[in-house]
Amino acid sequence: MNVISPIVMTALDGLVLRQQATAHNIANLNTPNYRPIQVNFESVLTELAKGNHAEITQTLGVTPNKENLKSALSHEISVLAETNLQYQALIKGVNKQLSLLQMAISEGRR
Amino acid sequence: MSLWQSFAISRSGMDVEQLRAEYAAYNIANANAVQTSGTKVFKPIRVTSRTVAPTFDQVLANSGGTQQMGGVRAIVSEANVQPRKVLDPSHPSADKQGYVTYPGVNVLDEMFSLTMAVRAYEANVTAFNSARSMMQKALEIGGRNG
Repeated sequence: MNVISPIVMTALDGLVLRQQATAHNIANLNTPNYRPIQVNFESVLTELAKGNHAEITQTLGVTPNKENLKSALSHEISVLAETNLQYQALIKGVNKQLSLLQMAISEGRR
Repeated sequence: MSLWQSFAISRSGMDVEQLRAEYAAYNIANANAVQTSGTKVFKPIRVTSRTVAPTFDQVLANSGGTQQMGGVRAIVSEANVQPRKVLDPSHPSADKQGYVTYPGVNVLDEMFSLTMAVRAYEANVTAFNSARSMMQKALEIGGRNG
C-alpha cells in the first residue's frame, strides 16, 4: 500500500526538474546561441493514472524548447512562480494525507 | 535531479553576471588611461558566457538521452578595438605627431553591459530563492503543523 500516490511523487519530481530547467534558462540569459529548455511531465502523470507503472521510470526528460528560441526573462520568471506554487500546493496535500493517517493511528485523539 | 543542483546552476549564473559587472567597471575605470611611452594601450575586456557541458558522471547517470543542465561559465577575452587618438600636443604623453592614445573603451556600451549584468544577477537570485522556498516546503512534509 502506498500512503502517498506515485502520481504525486512523480509530480513533485517533475516540478523540481522544471524548476532546475528554468534556473538553467535564467543562468544562460546572456549566453549567445543558447536554446532554452523545458520539462514536460504532465503526460507521464496521465500514463501513471492509467496504471502503466512499469515503463515510466526513466521518461522524465528535459527537451529543447521548440517554440521559444530566445529565452524571455518574464516568461521564465512566471514559470518559476507557477512551479513554486504548484509544489507548495502538492506538499500541502501530502501533509493533509499524512495527518489523516496520524489521526487514524492515534484513534482520533490528539 | 535535486534542488541542490538548482542552487548550483543559479550560483553559476550569479558568478558570471558578477564577473560581467566587475569587468564593465574595470573597463570604465580604465577608459581614460593614456598610453605612456613603453606601455601597451589598455584594451577593454569582454565577458561572454557559454553553457557548461555536463560531466561524464552526469551523462552516465542519466543516459536516457535527455539534455543535462550544468549551468553557465564565463569566458574572458580582450576586445580587439582600435585605440582612440586625440590631438593634444601639450599633453605629457603625446607622441611626436602630437597625438595622445586613449583606450578604445565605449563607455555607453560598458554602462549597458553593467545594467544588463545587474538585472540578470537579480533574475538568478529570484531563481535561487524559488528553489530555496521549495526546499523549505519539502522539509515540512510530515511535520506537526502539516
